[in-house]
Amino acid sequence: MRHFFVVTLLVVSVFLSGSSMNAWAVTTINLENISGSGKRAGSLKVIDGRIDIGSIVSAFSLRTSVDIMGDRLDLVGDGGSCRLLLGSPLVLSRGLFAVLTEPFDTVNGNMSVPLDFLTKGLPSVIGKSVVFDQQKQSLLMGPEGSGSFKGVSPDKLDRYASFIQRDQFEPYTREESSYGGLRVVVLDPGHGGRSDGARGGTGTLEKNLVLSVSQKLKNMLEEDLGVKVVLTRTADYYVGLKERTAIANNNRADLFLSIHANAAFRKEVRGYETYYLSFSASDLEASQLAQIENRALGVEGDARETPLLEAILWDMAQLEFINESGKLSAHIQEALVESLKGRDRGVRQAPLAVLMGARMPATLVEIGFISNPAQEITLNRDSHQNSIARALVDAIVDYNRNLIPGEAMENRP
Amino acid sequence: MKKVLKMLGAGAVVVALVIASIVIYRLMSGYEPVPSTVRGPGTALDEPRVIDLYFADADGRRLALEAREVMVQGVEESVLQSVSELLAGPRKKNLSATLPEGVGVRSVYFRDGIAYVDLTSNLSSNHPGGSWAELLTVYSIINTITENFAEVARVQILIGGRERETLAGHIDISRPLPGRVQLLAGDWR
Repeated sequence: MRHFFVVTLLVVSVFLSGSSMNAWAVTTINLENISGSGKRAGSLKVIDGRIDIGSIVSAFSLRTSVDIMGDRLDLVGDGGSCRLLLGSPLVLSRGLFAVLTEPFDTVNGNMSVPLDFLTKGLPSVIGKSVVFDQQKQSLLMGPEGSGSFKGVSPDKLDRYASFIQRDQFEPYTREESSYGGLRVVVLDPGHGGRSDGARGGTGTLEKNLVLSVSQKLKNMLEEDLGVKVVLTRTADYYVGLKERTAIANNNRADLFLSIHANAAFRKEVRGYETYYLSFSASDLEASQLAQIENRALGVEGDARETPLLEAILWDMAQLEFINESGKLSAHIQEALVESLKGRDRGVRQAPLAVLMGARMPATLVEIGFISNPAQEITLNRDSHQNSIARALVDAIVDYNRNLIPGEAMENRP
Repeated sequence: MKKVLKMLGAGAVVVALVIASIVIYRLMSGYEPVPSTVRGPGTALDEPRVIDLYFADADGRRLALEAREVMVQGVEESVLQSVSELLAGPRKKNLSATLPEGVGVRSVYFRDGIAYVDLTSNLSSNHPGGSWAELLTVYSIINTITENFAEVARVQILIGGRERETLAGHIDISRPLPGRVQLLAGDWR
């Protein structure tokens, strides 16, 4: 067994920018050599919890290449390379995909990656292991093969990464934390713009109804629980399904709630339904196969030529949170049925496109059948919309209360 | 004399068609190694078969069956027939349709265990929307195919000749989906 040499210690200095209300939290990671490795020291620029790609390139003297389409970036260093796809949370390196907590994307004009890129993507590029040392509160980089990157299992790397993500670089959200660890909720009013959604007999449009309920819910959550609420759309315009999930991922949401109104082929059908994502056994097999095949292809395998592969892995992102999504759905269904005295049509699982790729507990709630004449009338009432929003607040409170204490306290201040 | 020639000509055409059919049939049998439930060895080209169509029950909580006889001629034709029957709606009074009226099948294509069912684009534009209605539409089509034709493992729904993300904003149909027979029992999890 070779010793794990500490070559570089990344000392984290946090410079919180003045007012936290509207300014982006900017921090800097200073790179300092603590043993003579010859590598020059530099710094990484962290904007709102994401690292600027340019600062990674210059700090580690990397070469870059961008494809013609401009949405694929290869980073090449002494140890190898890795590939990032704009808008995708996947990083391809050494023939393996790792899923970042957020996509590689342009945020506020800066091409950036989430912090877990340091442990998931960077090691294969610089040819050194990168791990988080909890005691030293630092990232340790060791020489190739000496320790962590080869020896540490991917799930361990994930844990390091999520530790860095939540505690080390997010002082600003930690201060904002006010309701039992629940910090950011992303609400998704379904449809919008050219997508009207379901249409009621007297002309009620789902897209308008769900926006109204979402806005009421946003106000209640902010006022009552003090959590930050982000809407995927704030008016009547079109937003793609993948874009909605990306908004939740980019905001590091703790919960994603998609709000819809239902429709059936028969007018008689009424009541409430809550959905979360389903996975078929073949999905799971396919994702395993995809990993194996990709490994066989090696790092030169072109991720762009395997869209199915990316689709499968993207869908798998929600798998990690599926139990929590199920619990959240159960609380929502219970709250709606009990407080609104409606017909309980149950919690269901389905391959819902808008929930795929969500890296947090995610649910789609159908707040009633707009195709049922009686329910269409009540859904249009302001008081009823308030009651729905109130029931959803209760459900979120119940869900949060019932999280396993250890789980809820982990990573929390 | 002319009449005889005409009859001979017609006879020749029929013989040619039969031979061609047999040749195509042989080729197809060799082409599909999967044991077929539709077309057993030594059976005639066209044969009536009872299949189960998946509609919604009156209560609208689960899928429900209606048996119907269709003429089957290989997977693609059989799938096309079955989906056409599904589009025609249920005959039983206590069942509910799962597809909007006026939708047609553009084509059916079968390859490597996947049936590609291309439906006219009014499936999207005339759809009532809502997760529930969309779930019924998608799984009535998929179950009707996968549960009747053993060689079909998954179904890819196409709309207007193109792959689409969803029918009306909810269920992901961008990939081939396997059937969910438990929906008959109202088990949606």
